[in-house]
Amino acid sequence: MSESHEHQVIPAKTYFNVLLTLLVLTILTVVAAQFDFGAANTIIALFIATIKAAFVFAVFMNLRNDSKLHWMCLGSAVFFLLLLYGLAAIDIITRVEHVNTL
Amino acid sequence: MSTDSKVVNTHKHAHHFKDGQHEFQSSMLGVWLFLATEILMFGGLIVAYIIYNSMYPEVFAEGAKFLDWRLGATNTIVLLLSSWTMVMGVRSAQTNNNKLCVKYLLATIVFGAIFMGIKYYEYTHKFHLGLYPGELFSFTGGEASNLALYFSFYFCLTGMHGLHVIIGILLIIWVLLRAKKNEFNSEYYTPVEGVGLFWHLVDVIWIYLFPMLYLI
Repeated sequence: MSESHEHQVIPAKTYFNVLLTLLVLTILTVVAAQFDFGAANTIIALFIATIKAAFVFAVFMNLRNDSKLHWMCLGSAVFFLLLLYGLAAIDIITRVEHVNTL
Repeated sequence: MSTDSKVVNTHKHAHHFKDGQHEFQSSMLGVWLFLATEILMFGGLIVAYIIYNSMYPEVFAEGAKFLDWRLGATNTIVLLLSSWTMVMGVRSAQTNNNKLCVKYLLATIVFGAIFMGIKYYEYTHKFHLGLYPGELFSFTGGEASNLALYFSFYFCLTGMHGLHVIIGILLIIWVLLRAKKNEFNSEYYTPVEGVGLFWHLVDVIWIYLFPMLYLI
């Protein structure tokens, strides 16, 4: 069988560089958590986590040169998750506190 | 890296596929669809965590004090290393180097076991204090009256993740045994790649859980 030329092998150096990047970003997360940025704490931590996740998805899970279908699997999952979060957050924020008069 | 010239492809693609490539792509789409359901399941828990965190920030701040970020950070590094050994294992299979593939898979299992060992240490310490999930919660020294809420989330999120690590380790043992029998080569390494994708997703979930639980 010679039709599998599409299985391209990624250089080991690329994987190693991504590992180093992920380790550096982990240290950055820990360092950033030592300072208090107020409400931005959560945003900063989740932002760094998303960069790390993007590296894992793109290189380790090979989404960079993969089929678009795999992108759509990930994208639709994330989309519906954001929808769930958005609608749930709107519900919580817009609730009016009721005082029972009975 | 030396390439083993003795490796021959013994795998025959199933009859309903056009060829090996077609089979590989179909399998990977199946794995990705499964991963999408995994993201939705963990995502639902994480959304609940974020909502409750915004409603009771003082409860979550107090609960997080019982967690040692050094253990969480160590576990993050362990899982990142395991993701790297996993991807190198897949690469070894792609380059017909079964011996190296077995070694990398073994290293991945060891890192997974170290992760679970640290988790076990953390859990037993919390149980010792009475910090159990749900109604078993018997810790009385807390300031917040509903501190149990935090630990229900903690055990639910880390427990579900830990279960995935255990399943991942079992799956890697399965592909390791097959790699030992020289079943994989540059033409056929679908199971290694599929298990690898699952393992990386478990890593990604921990990448989010670590700052959420231990740092914020």
